[in-house]
Order: sequence, then structure tokens, then C-alpha cells
Amino acid sequence: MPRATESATMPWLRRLGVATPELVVVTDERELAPHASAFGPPWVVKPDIAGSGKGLAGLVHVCRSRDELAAAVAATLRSGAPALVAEYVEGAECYLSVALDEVSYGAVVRASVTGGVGFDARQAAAVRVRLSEGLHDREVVTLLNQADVKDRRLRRALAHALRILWAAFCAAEAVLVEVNPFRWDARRLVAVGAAVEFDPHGRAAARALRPAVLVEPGTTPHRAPTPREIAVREADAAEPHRPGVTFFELDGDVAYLVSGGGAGLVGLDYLYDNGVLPACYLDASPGAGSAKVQALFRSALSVPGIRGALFGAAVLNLVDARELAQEFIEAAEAAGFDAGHVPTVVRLAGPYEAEARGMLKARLPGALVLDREASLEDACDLLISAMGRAPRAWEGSAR
Amino acid sequence: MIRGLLESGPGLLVQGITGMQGRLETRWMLDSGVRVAAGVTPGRGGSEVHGVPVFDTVAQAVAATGARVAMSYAPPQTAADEVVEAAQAGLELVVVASEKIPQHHWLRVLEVARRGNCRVIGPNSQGIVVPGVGRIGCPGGDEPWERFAPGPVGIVSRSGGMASELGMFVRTWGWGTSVQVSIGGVPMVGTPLTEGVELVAQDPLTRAVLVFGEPASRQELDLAAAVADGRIDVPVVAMVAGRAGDSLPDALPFGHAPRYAGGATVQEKIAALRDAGVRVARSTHEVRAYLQEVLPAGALRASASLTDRRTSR
Repeated sequence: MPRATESATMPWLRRLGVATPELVVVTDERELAPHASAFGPPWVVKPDIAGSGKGLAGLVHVCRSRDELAAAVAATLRSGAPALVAEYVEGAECYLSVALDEVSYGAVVRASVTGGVGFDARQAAAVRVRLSEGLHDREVVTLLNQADVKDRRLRRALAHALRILWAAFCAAEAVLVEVNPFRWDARRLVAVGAAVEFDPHGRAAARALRPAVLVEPGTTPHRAPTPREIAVREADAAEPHRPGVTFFELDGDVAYLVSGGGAGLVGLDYLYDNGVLPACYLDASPGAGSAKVQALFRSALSVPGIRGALFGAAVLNLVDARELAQEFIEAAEAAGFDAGHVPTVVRLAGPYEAEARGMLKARLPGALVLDREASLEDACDLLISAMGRAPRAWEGSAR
Repeated sequence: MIRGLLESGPGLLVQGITGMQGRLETRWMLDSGVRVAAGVTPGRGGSEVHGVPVFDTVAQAVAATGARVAMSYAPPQTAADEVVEAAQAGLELVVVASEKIPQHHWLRVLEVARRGNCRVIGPNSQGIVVPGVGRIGCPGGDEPWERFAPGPVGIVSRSGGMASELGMFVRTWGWGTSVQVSIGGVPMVGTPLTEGVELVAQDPLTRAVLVFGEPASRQELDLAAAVADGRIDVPVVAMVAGRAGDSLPDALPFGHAPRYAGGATVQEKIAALRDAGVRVARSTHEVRAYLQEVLPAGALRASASLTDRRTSR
């Protein structure tokens, strides 16, 4: 789901007509001096990353002196993110959001006269809106009544802001537009924290109305990507017109090559249940093409320290099993993967499965190749058993 | 409803029949004994695909054939609009294969379809199978009647691949399926799990429903609520895959749909279903054992009339 950092979201909101604080992004501590005099003190410093929860994670600093500002910026930069330095805005905190809603198959607008760090959106007043009907005065009034907004000027300001957020949500085909918090000083309603997410499949006209820079959550760093993950991303990006592929590494030692958003998870759960940790998870949409599939399979078979490999899928409906087998054989050869030394179990069923199994047995003689009578869990059982044996001792385990 | 629509009437209407997937799956549907009455591709009216007449609009195809059911292979950019066209032409059921359809537009289209009493399955659906009667789309690939047999188990799955995998195993275990529905893997599908279970429970052969759930979406929680309050009284056996991903960062894309921070975990879904009285299996081995528990002793395979019809031609 594409998201925007605050440094991209705030100018977007400002263009829409929502007041926002002055802000600058600092990537080098040495750049700080000229920025510091543009506004403040006080200043607010936080990492310029997408999403909410920065305050709850203790990543937001209010700095009242230049020394505090320098220390907060340095700490933020050390965490690996650029530092967002914003004007501090006084005022009471409140909350507005618009989101797609699975309950009503429409949208839900939320409001609260509280907000800020740790605010739970589920505590806000909520009104559901049909996308085909749009947000009308009736819903706005109901929402602000439910949120118990009594101050007439604040009501007017929130109603105005909500209409702007709603229009932007619809026009840009957002999944979420959230301002938490707004600060209200009895004159101005200023968005000081915001999170936005957009439909990755939104129409071109909608994408043109989004913040200038968006980030994909897949690139959100919980760790640096491995060379194999980068290789798959590059292969995926090289053919943007084709269906996509997914690959990420996990902490285990089994090359897990069971594709399919459903079947892939079934085998993964079963391995975890039996104390075996996969080294990776992958998925390929039908029609992804050979280059992407090769990158996926080669990457999975190249993860260092692999002690076993499981390849297969739920029974294939539209894919020719011979093509899938050929991709696996070529990837194993390219990766220098030796099924004679690393226990390898294949479960392949679907169109031309007998021929596919024949190809695999001929080209990867060490692999145990199962037919449709075996489930993915049976394949996992065989792999677990084979991994406990000496090389070559697992041959003959398959029916 | 689905059995009746497939048993009677002139057969399916295929939207996007002249595209690569439409041509391939139409060929396989015809080969498996399914009646395909018409195809629709704007600008290709007057042509034929595998002997099936092609029309420019759904309205023309319905006027000429009386079709009531459509399988849509329209591309993501036009799939939603083609559902509107089908609903406005009076179709009762549309199954949508396409994925990556713009969500805002899709939700508006579902409102139109609902007002027109047109049931939508999908997007991202692999299709529907009623063994012995027919199929909409190509679950089972080129050999559906070697994989699926008629019987007492309804299947409703968020994964198309696992719908077929489970259908095949149900046959292998000596039972068969009444209706198998791949509802699509994204959260806001035309027919979510609960409605899917209600739909297949209506089938006269159904004695139990097997459900396959996944991470993301609240559909499993809604199903648990429906079972708990008695709206669903047929025995339900469920498998919710993706437990292994619960402890991993939300940014990692497991399954068909993005997982949201703060959304229900797979373990929470499993707990909700168990609390409602649903038997939740951790593996297909347990699925078999639970089906054994809930199915009546004499519930075995029913006769496969479509297989008989095809092989006797």
C-alpha cells in the first residue's frame, strides 16, 4: 500500500487548503544551523517516515533550545531516517480521518475532540458513508454531534477540514487520510501529524492527485534488504506490465518455494508447527513470466545455509506443470543447487504433472518427487524426515 | 441458486472472451461439457470464439440468448464497469477473475450490482464448480471431473488454488463437493465468506461447509459471529492459513492481501471461529478428521451426471 512520509503529506495537505506547520527535512546535522532560524523555538523533531505511531514509539521530540534541537536531530539521523523539523503549534488536540471500510463496503469518517500520542481511532465518533452518495452536511453534523464538538468555531473548522479530506480521499483514491492531531488555538486548525495510504491499483487520474513522493511498505526497513531480495525486486521492476512477484527472507534454513497466497501459507504454518523454520517466503501471480520466476527460484535456492528445499504448489489449474518444473530445474542449475546433497522435496500436481515429475526426476535425481495423492503437509513431513538423515539416505522415501 | 442457474437456461456468457485468458478458459469450459451461450467483447460483435457467438454488449447477448450468468475475464481497468453492464442487463450472477481493480470504483460498482440483485463473486475469483452439473471459470483446469466429484461438502475459499486442492482431497477421501466457490483473496469481495457459506448451504446436497481463510480482512470474524448467532446452522469446518506470519512485521506481504497494523491476527480469527463452535483445522489432515465428525455416516459421493453426459457423447 503506497504511503507518504510527513514531508510529502504536509505540502499536499497545504495545497488542498489544510493549514500545516512550517517544516524542513534535515539529512545532515551540518545543515541544521540555517534552518533553525527559519522558525521556532520551540521545534518539533521526528523521523520523516510514513505511517502513524511515531509519538507512541518515543520518536517525537519537542525542543526548546538549539542544544535540544541539535541533539534530537542527531538522534533521529542516527536511527537511519531523515529528521523532520517542524514549527511547534500550540493548541488543543483533536482528530479527523477518512478510511475505506470493510464493514460497510464504503468509507468511514471519524472525529474526536481528543487526539495525539497514543490516540486509538476506534474511540473516535464514526459515521459510515457510501462512496456513491458522498459526504453530505447531514453526515458531517451527525459526526460532530457524536464527537460532542460544542465550540461553534471549532465545529466550523472541523467540518471545513473534513470536507477537504473527503474530497482528497475520493479524488486520489486513498485508503486512509488521517490527521492526528490537529491543533486548535481558537483561531486556527493546524494539521501537525498525518498519515496517508493509497490504493496501489488506483486509476491514473487518481494517482496524479497524490503527494509527489510515495513509499511502498515493502521497502520499509525492518532490516536492510539482502542481495537476493534486491535481485527479485529488480526483476519485478524490470517488467512492470507483468503480474508481480514477492520474495523475502526469514530466519530459517529451508528454501521454501511453495507459491500461492493460500497454499504457500499452508505449508509455512505446517513447518512452523513442526519446529522447522523456512529461510524465505515467495509468491508469484500467474503470468509473472520466466525472468521473474527465475529470479524468485534462484534467490530462494541461494540463501546461505540452506539445509532443505521444498518446491511445489496447490494443484495447478491453469499453469502447465512442465513449465514450472523447467523453471525450477533451470534455477537450481543457475544457483548451483545440488538436490543430491540438500534434501529436496517436490510436490507438483496439475496439467501434465506426470511429464513434469519425469523431468524433475531426470534432471534433479536426488529430489523426492510427489504426486497429487500427497498433500503439501505430506511433503513437509517427508522433508523434515529427510533433513534428519545422512545425504543420499533419503532416496527411496517417496512413494 | 448456483446449481439452478447452471442446470437450467442457455448457458454462460463470457465477458472478455476474445482475450488470451478468455479464449483458453472458454475452450476448457466447453471441453468439460459446460454450455457457453455467448461471449462479449466491445467491438468484436459478429465474430466467434470456439464456435461461441460474440456480441458487442451484454444487453445484445442477453437478448439473443437469455443468459443469466457471466464469467468475466475483463482486464482490471474495465472489469468493474463490465459488472455494471452485466447487472443492468439483468444478469443474476457474475464471477470476476480479474484482480488489481481500483477499490473506490469497485465499491461503487458493488452498490449498483446489489441494487440490481446481481450477485458478484470476486474479484480475483478462480470460479465456481458444481460437480456433475458444470463450472463457471476453470477450477480443475483441463480435467475437472477427474478432480471433483459431487457430494455433501460445500467449499468456500479465499484462495482459488486451495479451493481446488481441498475439492480434490474431498474426492480422494471418498466424499464429494456440492458447490465449490473461490470468492477471491482481497478483503472487499462481492461475496464475502459469510455470504459464501450461506450460498453453498442452500444447495440441496450440502451437509457441511469447508471454509479456507487467510490473513487480512475481517471476513473470518464476521463468519464466526454469523455462526455464533445461529444465522448459519450447517456444520462448518475451517482452515485459516497464515499463523506463521502473525509474529512477523505487518509490512511483510503474506497471502493475497496486505495485512494492517491493528487488524485481526490469524490466531484471533481462529479463536473467534472456535468460540463460535466452528471446527478449525491446523492442516488438511485435520480437515479430513473434522469432516468425518460432522458428515452423516452415509454421506458419500453422489452420481456424476455431467461426467456421465460428457463421456457418453
